[in-house]
Amino acid sequence: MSTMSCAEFGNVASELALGVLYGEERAAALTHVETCRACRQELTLLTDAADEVRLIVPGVEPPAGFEQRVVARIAAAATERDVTPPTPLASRRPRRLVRPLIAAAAALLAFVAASAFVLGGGSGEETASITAPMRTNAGEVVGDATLSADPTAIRVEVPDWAGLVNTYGATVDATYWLAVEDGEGQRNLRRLPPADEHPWTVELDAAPSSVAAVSIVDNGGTVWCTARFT
Amino acid sequence: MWDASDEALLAGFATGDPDAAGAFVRRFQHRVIGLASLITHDAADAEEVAQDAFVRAWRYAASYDPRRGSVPSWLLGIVRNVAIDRVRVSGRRKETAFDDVTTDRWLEHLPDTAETIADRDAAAPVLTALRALPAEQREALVAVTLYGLTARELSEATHVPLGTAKTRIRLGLRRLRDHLGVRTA
Repeated sequence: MSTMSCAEFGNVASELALGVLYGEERAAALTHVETCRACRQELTLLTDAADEVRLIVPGVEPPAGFEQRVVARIAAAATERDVTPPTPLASRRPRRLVRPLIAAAAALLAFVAASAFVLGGGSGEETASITAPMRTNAGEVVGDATLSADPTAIRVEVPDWAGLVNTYGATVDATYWLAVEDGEGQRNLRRLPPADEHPWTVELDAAPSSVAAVSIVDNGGTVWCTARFT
Repeated sequence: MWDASDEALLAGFATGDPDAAGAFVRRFQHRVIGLASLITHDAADAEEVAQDAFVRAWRYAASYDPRRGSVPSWLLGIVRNVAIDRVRVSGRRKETAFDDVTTDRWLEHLPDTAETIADRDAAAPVLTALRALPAEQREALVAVTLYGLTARELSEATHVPLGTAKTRIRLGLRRLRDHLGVRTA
């Protein structure tokens, strides 16, 4: 990642404040403001100005029943969140069906799969898969990652990926990376396929037993969510 | 609950309590649908965007950090991003955006359509600052702020070099910042 001077930052600060700076430039700009107080203050002022423009958009009368529909959707989402098991699952695909029963079975399968990796030690048993929840830094489960063998691959599913990144001012068409961490904390980056190819599958040239965790990170180094297999 | 601050209302909203959720939605639904309508140009899309935005706001309400902006600003940021993604999927973003940007239609009608006197009072200085900008900077700012056009997309839509589009964005936002900074000083 290239470094950026204050003058160079000034040229892209407005785009950064407006949320339309992407790629290497965004990464370099974010790195710069981490260490430059003056540019950080400038960015804050520009962001505040951009926010004011958004706030003056006139309101529109909501359609009849809008409030009730939103509240109902939130109630439904809250119910779904409450029954999402916090432990690793072998599969969460059929979760819209008989969720509690499947969750219990899945947790058992995940334990068996994990045992195959951990106890098998790569002795020909690595044909199973292990699934772990993808969590944000706040600990919220936003999806899952499945590590499989032959060939070694990671499948990542974050059902509301757009919602997650939108909430923090990013968009799905930015560049994201899968950071694959081994047991010693070393990280290798693999570019994540485009959002329209979700759920993503990334093949690795490492043994499954060497993969300790995977994270989705952006060009600025922000970690969006992480799944741990050990 | 009607007199609760935006932050307090958001905290209640985060719990998922139906009454708190209803109060939060009632307070912001006009603005949310207004921005969603502006970007999507379609009533059905706007409602779906607005619903999605509220659900996402609820989901991530616990992560809200007041140091990064007010609740309306945070919420409308979600709306903008959800709407942009939705329009992008349909492949009609640049066309819908620039129809409005070039005519300044929404800008002309803002003072008359603001919901309350407080909204009009809040909007007036920003409108004044926007109108004081050269037309090409104002258009650039609106296209990027509200529709999420990148500098490259703006350059293609306005048939100007990329460097020119970047300059318009940069100067426009800096002048707006200066103008609003004078107001608060």
